[in-house]
Amino acid sequence: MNLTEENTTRFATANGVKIHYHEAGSGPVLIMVPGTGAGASGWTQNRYNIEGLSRSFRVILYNPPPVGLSDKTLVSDAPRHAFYSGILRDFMDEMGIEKAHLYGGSPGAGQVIKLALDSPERVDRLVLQAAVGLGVSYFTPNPWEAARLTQVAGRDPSYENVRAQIEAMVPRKDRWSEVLFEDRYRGANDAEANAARAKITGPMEDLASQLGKISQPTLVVWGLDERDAPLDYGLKLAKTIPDARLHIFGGGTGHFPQFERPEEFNQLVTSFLLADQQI
Amino acid sequence: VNATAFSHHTIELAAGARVAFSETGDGPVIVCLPNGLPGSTARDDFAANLDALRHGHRLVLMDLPSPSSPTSEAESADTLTHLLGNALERLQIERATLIGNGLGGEIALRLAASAPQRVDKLVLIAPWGCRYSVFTPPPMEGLKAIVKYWEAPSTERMAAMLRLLSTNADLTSDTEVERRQAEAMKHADRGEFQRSIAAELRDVLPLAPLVQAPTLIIWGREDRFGPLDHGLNLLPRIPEARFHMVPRCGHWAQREQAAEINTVVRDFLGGAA
Repeated sequence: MNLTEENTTRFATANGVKIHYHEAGSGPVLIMVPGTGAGASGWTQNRYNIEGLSRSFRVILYNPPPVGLSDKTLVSDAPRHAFYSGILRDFMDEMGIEKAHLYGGSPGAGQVIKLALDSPERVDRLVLQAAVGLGVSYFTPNPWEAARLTQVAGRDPSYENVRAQIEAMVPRKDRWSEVLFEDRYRGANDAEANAARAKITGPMEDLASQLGKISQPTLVVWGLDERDAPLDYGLKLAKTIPDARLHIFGGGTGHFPQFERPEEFNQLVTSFLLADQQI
Repeated sequence: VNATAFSHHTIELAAGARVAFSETGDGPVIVCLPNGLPGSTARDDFAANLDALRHGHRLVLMDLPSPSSPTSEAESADTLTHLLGNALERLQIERATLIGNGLGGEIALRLAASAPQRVDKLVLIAPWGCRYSVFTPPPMEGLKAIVKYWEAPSTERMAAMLRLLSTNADLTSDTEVERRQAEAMKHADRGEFQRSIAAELRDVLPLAPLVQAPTLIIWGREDRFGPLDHGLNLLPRIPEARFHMVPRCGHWAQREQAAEINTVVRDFLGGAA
């Protein structure tokens, strides 16, 4: 059966919070957490990975509220990573998942790191991709090109602004597609989601000083032609987390190696998560 | 690994130069090139990787060629590259995947740049050839230790060099020191060449854009012989490349973190890239 957005869609209510997620496959659990920015969702971020990864894992594309069809009623001024990692832990409780591999992309990496720090017994291995919010970058102006264009598109989500943002994130034109731009444009103009996002106002904690306490084997993934999350964040993660390796995709790969190079990404992640079984 | 499955050879190349190698199997060719440290051989450098590489391949473990006579420093790497090309011709290998560590990585990169039609895929494990580094001024301490060793080869200097090679004390044990010292002394006549090629700071970056082969660059996070930013600098210059940095790992990455290296190399060689 072809996996589609519709036929993989599931819902759960975790500690009173409605969670929309996608699920496929069986085996060790891999929960993939997208960013919470406008237009990002589990399906738009990892639609080209769910099928390949579901051959080895029970893959869950998790939508943190208010992403996708998840809860749009939450109001919070609590520190952001703690707030989101708490909801993720509640979701795992509700699903009866004691321990899982966690993948976090872009801002989604923050809640995954926070859960690994606070509840290490719940987190098996970590995959961190193009993480943001790690303080000063030595090499790039702040905010960097695509992050700045994201702010512009946030203020005025016209098709042109959203497209400029995505073009900066995906430098190779042969990776562009209408579905890529349309997904983001539609998401950025979802008034209900934007209103819900505006009610979650807590500050982002600086996780940089705690990275050395991460005990999980960790894979850090970056694209060399990234224009959003500075590459030196990748180096910081991989040099500070004791058991971390850094994989950088060259050849014009930008902010989304998972759909700019889906087969290679899926193989990399599969091999890393199954490493214990292979020795 | 059943070592007896390998056949061992030494062949004479042009003008009295020679090269030693071991090989096994049939199929697409993989050539492994050692790191160029005193006492290193291809068989030894890749001992932990043979099972992962040999399946379905003709696997050639090739020592770095020995030039017939001393060459000037400026010619040293070119000479080795030329001799590697000669050796592949003699073995009737038209096209191969090259896997090289350290100096062997630099020679592999040079051959891939000068004769792209002969290289299938390229795996560079902390290749030498870094003249300019922003963060760690070359030469790094490991290369200095190689030069110092060849100035007056001794067990003590071998031990001092090996202590910089790895974060794993098992790889720098007294037994390992003795074994390497004995191996290095078999080739003491090559000492001056080895010293000069380690002392010279060459810049391979201008060659990197000429590489056409899909390339995997591997670096040990704790490498004391090759600057990390050398690996990063190679990445944007090679058209189809990816970079993998491995934790708890020095310059001899394919040995120190063999399981992880075997996995990423196997995925790379098996992939569509």
